[in-house]
Amino acid sequence: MNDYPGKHPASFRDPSGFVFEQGGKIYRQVNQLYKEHFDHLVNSGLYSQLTQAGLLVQHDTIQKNLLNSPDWYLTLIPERIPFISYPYEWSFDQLKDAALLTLKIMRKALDKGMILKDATPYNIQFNAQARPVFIDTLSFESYAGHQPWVAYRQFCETFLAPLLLNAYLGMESSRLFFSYPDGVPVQQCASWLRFKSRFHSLALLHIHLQKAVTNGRSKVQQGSFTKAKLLRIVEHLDGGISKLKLPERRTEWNQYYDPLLTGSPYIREKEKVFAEYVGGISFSSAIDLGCNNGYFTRMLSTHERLVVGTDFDNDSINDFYAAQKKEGNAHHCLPLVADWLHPAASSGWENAEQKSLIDRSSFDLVVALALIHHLTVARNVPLEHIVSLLSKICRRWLIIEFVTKEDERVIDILERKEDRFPNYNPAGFEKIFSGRFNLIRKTDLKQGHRMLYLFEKKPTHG
Amino acid sequence: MLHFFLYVDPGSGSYLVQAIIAAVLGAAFYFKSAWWRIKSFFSGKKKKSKEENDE
Repeated sequence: MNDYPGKHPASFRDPSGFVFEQGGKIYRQVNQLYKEHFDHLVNSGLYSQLTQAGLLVQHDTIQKNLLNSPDWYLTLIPERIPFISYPYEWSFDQLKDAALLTLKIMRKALDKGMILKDATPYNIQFNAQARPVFIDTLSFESYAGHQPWVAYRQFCETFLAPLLLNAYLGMESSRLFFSYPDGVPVQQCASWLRFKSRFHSLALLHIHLQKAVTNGRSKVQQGSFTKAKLLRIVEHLDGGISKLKLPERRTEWNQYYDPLLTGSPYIREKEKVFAEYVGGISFSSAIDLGCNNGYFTRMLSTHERLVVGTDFDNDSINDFYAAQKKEGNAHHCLPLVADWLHPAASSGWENAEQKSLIDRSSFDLVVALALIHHLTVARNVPLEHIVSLLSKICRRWLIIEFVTKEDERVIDILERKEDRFPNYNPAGFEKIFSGRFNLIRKTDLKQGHRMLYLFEKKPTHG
Repeated sequence: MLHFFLYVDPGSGSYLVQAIIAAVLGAAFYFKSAWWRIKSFFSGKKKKSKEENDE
């Protein structure tokens, strides 16, 4: 239930304040209840330390009670996050960086006499530089120094457990979040990990021991805990998590754009035509569906543009994220794990806390390279349905590659199944797409049986 | 901006496990630094540890 117009449907759990939208702007109200903690955050210098380091989202403060709320203390205007994403769309390294960010903030907070009262990946977003940033300014609480961490279990279940299961068993963290949106319970994680991790102190102490203690239903004597002890736990988590790695795996996809292949005449020709198309249009946001390791996605990025790359292959997205990070995030693309056959649905309370991927997707330019045959020929999605999806998320431009039946990969797919795709040819494709899009440019790629198209969306379907 | 608060239930045993882990890590640190002292006594090298001993 929303008690104020514009109040964000996910902002109801914490009485410290809430997020709301007014006149297309996002605000965060701080309630009187949280006054003492908020003042501590600002006056201790923690807020400026964290924002200057790019760890916490920046905000402007206004002294206006925009909603005439009796609980009002302050109104914040937080820096806008260009694209909202969720842990079920992050690759291993993205979740790992989010976990390390949380611990780093926790250490700095403890230093200033504060603590994080919750620790979940949903408090983190990727900013315009595609770097993780903590968004929940009201998560900080004054810390007296003799209490264990209230959010410890939550941290273990939402960060540590999925990371360990991914690192040890290859269970992709992104997929785990679909089944366990609030994190993998310690008991469940311990039973999956079993002996695999018994010599690893990270899993032994924070998962296995925690499971044993929880099962015992014992009560704790409070008062004997210290800040130094808590710091030791935080540092142990930090040290262990920084060493966790995604198991080496070469999928069919994460070697798709290997250096050897990228030098091929086909890729070089496609790159040239693609660059021409991109150079000839103007757009401020773009999404690359099936971006693999981002080889073509990076060509779209400038400092001002929002560029999102999605792929269903977790390892490719991880490679994309890791490579971009290595280059100092010069490209500013946001890589996300997404399977467009099963795009993330609306979820949470009343299906309103997290928006579906399609509801979040509206881009000036949509790119779909070497993707259509996987959807149509391999997965039986008719071309009409593909146009329907593309026109939903596309505001103006569409660059799409058509892979013909003469192409090796299509031949390969059709060897295993009956050819029931009479319309699957350039003429049929153009006819179906012309219902929603105007053809602007078309290039027959000489190296291979593929064509590249630039379409512009017809305004009637805007 | 989407935002998700989670007022957490610390979970039964979560405080106790933190007390035990802190003790285990404290003991591990104690033995580690004792081992370094013995090692540096014999090797003659002085090893500085960045960590603080809070126990």
